Amino acid sequence: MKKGLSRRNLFKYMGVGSATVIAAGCEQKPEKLIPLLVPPDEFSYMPHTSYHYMTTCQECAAGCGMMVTAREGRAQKAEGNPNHPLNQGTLCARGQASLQSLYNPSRLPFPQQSGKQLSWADAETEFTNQVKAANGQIAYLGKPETGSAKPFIEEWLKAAGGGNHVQFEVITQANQREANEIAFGRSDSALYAFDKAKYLLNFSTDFMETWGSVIENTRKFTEMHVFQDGTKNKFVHVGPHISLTGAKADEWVMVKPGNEGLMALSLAYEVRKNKGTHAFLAAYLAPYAPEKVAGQIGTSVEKIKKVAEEFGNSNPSLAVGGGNMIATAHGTETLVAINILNAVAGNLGKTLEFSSESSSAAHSHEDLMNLIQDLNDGKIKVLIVDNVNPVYALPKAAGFAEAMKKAFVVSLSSVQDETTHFANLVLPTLTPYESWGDASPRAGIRSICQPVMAPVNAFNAKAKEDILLGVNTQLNTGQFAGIVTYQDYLKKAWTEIQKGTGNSDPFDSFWINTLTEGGLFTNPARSPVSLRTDVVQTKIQISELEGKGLALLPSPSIMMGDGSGAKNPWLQEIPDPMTQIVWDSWMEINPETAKQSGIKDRDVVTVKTAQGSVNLTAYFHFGIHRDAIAIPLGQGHTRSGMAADNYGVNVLDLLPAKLDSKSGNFVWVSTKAEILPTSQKSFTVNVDGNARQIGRGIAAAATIESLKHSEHHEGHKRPVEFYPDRKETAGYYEPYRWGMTIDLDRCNGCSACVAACYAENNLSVVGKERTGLGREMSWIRLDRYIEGYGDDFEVRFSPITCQQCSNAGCETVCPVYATYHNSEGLNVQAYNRCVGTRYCSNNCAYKVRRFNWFNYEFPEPLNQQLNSTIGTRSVGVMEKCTFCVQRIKQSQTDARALGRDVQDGEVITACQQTCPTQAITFGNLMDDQSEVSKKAKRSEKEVEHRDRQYEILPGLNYKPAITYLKKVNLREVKSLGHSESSHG
Amino acid sequence: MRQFILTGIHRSITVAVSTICIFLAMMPNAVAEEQPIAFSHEIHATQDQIPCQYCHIYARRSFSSGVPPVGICIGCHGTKEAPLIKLPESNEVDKIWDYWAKKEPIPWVKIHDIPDYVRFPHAKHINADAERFNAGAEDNCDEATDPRSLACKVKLFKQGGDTRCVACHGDIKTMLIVKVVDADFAQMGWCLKCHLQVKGVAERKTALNTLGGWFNAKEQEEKRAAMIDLKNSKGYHNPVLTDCFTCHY
Repeated sequence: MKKGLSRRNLFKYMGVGSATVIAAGCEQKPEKLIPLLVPPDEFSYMPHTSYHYMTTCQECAAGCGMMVTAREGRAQKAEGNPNHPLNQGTLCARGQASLQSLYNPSRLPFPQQSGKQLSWADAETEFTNQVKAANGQIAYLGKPETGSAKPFIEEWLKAAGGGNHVQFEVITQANQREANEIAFGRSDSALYAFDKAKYLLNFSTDFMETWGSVIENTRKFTEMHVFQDGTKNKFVHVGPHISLTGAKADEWVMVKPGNEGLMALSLAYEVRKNKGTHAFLAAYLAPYAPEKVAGQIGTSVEKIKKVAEEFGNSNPSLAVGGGNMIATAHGTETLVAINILNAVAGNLGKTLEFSSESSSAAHSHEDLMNLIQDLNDGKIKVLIVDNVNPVYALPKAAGFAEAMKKAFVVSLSSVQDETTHFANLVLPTLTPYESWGDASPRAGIRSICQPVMAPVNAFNAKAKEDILLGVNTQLNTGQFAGIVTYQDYLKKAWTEIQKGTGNSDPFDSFWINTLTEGGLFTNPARSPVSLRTDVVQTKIQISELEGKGLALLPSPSIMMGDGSGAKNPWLQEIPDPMTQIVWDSWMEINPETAKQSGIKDRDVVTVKTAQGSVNLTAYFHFGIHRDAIAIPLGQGHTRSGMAADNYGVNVLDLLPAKLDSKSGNFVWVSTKAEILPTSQKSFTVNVDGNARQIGRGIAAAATIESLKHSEHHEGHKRPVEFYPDRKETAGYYEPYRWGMTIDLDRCNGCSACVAACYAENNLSVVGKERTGLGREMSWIRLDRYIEGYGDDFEVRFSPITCQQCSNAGCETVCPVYATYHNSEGLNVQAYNRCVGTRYCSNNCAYKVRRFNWFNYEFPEPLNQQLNSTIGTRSVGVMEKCTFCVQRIKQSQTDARALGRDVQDGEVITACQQTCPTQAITFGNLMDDQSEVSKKAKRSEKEVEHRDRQYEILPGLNYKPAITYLKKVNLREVKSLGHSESSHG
Repeated sequence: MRQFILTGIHRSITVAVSTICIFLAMMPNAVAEEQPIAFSHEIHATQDQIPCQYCHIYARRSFSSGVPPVGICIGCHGTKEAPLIKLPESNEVDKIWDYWAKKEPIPWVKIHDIPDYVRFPHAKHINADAERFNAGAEDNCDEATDPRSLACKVKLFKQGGDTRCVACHGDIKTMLIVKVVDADFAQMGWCLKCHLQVKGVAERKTALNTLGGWFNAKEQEEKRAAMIDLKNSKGYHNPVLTDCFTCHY
């Protein structure tokens, strides 16, 4: 006999009691309905409706076109401008995350002087007084400007009494331009026709990460490298380090750091010898015969000869060089050597082209070093810093932070950073999303930048050009007559541009057309170039690195770029594709080297150079030379806001400030570093779990040979089932079963899809600690698997998202029917029905379900970015990919208005939309003629003819709606563990 | 065990609290708050015969019904400087003028509030094809005794135009102060009652992917397929009205 309360009753009373207490706490304040005062002209505004505006992405210097979706007057999603010749509608992860540059909580809220808030009137007066007092001793330090901003700034400086316009970017192509001048007499960047090449030789360039026009490079590279008509073109990576770009290579020729130039000339020697052209080079190339230099390069004579033969025999081929890894003290000469190689192989005018309109952008790091000198000499009284962060992005050894103290520093910046912290007068500027501008990244492309929304109301900012115009008015110079805002100036400049094109429309209609299109795009003719005969005066030298230890390679980061990405939480939260590490820096080291020095994977080590030392986690990577280590750029901020500060280290602290004597380019590979073990514990978070597939066949690959002869295909045999197929249930899959194919041969792991998903689906950012607990919220993730061992290894990328299974494991175990298969083939997750048992996630074989352990915050004003066409989820609820159900619904609504069903290609998911390689196809599997059906080959008839198609873990019979297409390799890589063809 | 009990208690508190919160949220006007302006729908819609969608311009056009812009008020009432319509005994119009002069929107209090986890496409309902209702769905409407019965609502809905507004919102035209008329307004049952009156929806609800259906699946499914109103005369497949993803995503 029980005494007192039974357990059941206790709960009952407890429940009622506390509920009564807390009931008062959940009293709801009624929501407010805030109307517009006047809707902007008639019905051009509608609540909950998407409006698209064309503008230009300014996260890096590439100048891709952007189409921004605004709803309720707020920019909510960035997509590529489909008209733009560079990116053709796609966008990279940084472009997607540019929305967070707009709504970043670390944006500057008001003008301030020495930390004290000022009114705009006072701030502009102070600025004017300083400019007056400087008497022409002014320097204007900004990003490289390619559009109308450049003449504007120069005119303004002239009006202000004179001054220098110094352009600064961290990752430049100055050495490229100089090398082209030496080799071809053209001082602009070359146009690389990756798509036309039959054989690509890449000398250490990260052309799919930060170098050049990344999206265009990626698209064209994919066209060249993708498996088609039973074959594919070869891509060989030459260099000391394999990053994301090198991971797509079919072969890796490991060379010692700084020896790419020698390798290029050695190849040129062989190619020239076989072809017999370019006689004037014979004597010049003779010392570089493979037999003479193979030892120095660190590879074998046979390998050089083989690559040279393949390269020379492919017509046309292409050799590409550039980027940080090649920027040694003799980086320019290395690039000249690569130009010579292209010339002797006959690639000029075929894959290596120059525009007929030269667009020389003459700036290099030398300008900045001169500026530092001038500052130290007291020649500069006022330094205007416009949205660049040299205090962070230059080596400490350059001494910028000390030099800038000698002048009055006016900072025009939208976000707080290391440089604004030391500035005397800080004037908040608008982001590109809120301001007017244009960019001309190359001849023939004039891209417009227009405000896509009213400035974010949390920040009292002004367009930088309008600040300058305000100062100009106060100076009363007489310059800029009749120009009140920068928009006027821009229109005036475009009036000239219109005249130049011969367009005779009234300007207003020309202007509207330009804004609708996103710019003015022409394709200027190519002009022929030939190798200059005096190129033989260029001497290739091997640059000795300072110090002792291992060569230090500061690798550019695809997410952080030059470090400006670190403030955007999405870019911190999305794992680095190669290492799968989040919110951190790391040191890549070859396992063999590490073994010799007694360093284990994930040990914390001290990396020490003459300039300084940092502590960071060692990461074992086969793709790095045994005499080198690599540390990514972009982390280690101290004053850039809550998302950036105190994560990782700044590798620039380890580098001396040296310049390439020929081009003035910063020398990235200049020093060696010592590695010392420490006793610290590593808190580096990576999300990959196991880098090995252990025979699970998740990211599968085939060789060309196996595709030719294969008779047995996966999915060939359908298991006998007790239950009827869902298709046989009335109403199911009629007319739609949404499905997807993901082509692993196209996917390069850039993670743009992940960023697009964060933007489209209101995914929460959980931070480093919680990601470490496995609580990340990404609906789509990029799995990275390593196959093979040692130098002959292979990297496979595979985007994994909810497979929308027909026989899903998650559905059968849900106790409340919150997840089920709907009639359109979607695996529905009804959030408000979910009680959070997390059983579904346990039973999901693909690990794609994400649980809300907390009510995650979207700190003001990041919440303004939230997509208003779907909801946000709260604590205790499971969430996952819905195939962008809001986009499906929108397409269905639009189609119904036209009296028909949705047609193929009308629903485009966010991940598919942004993919620069077009790896993702989405559509209706029930329509035999749809793109996705043709690619997936799922019907009874076609399943017999599958070659690359497979579903992940077919043995579970979950019947996923996503069909993967195998990666195609030119070589067989031995995988560890079970055989590749294992059925799970 | 101790741990288990603690978790258990925690759970039941959570469940009970959320139940009560949901209950409170469902009660119409859980906390009443005065509107900033004593706007009378009766004066405007009944006395002055202004159609609903003269002011509610977004109702048939947008996913979200929106709120009439202040400019629409000013269109008839004018401004303080140039007054148009104003009854001498009322001060309410002065308030609109004040808001207008200050360039401030009027902070109306939301009466018809749907939870944030429901995606309710307002325009789709106003433009929906009322012919899809089951035959006889409105037959038992007895306006005298129970004007808010399901049959009456269907009847109102089928009439279209501004009468359709009444089907969900009640006869706002006659209200001095807007109130929610249905006690179960915006609850899922309230929505589904109407959705289940649409042709084929009820039949679609029961899937036969079960052992019972397996033996004579083909036969049964053929029968069911005929009942489900899959495709309409307009050339497209009818939307599924009882799927969770119809409203919750």
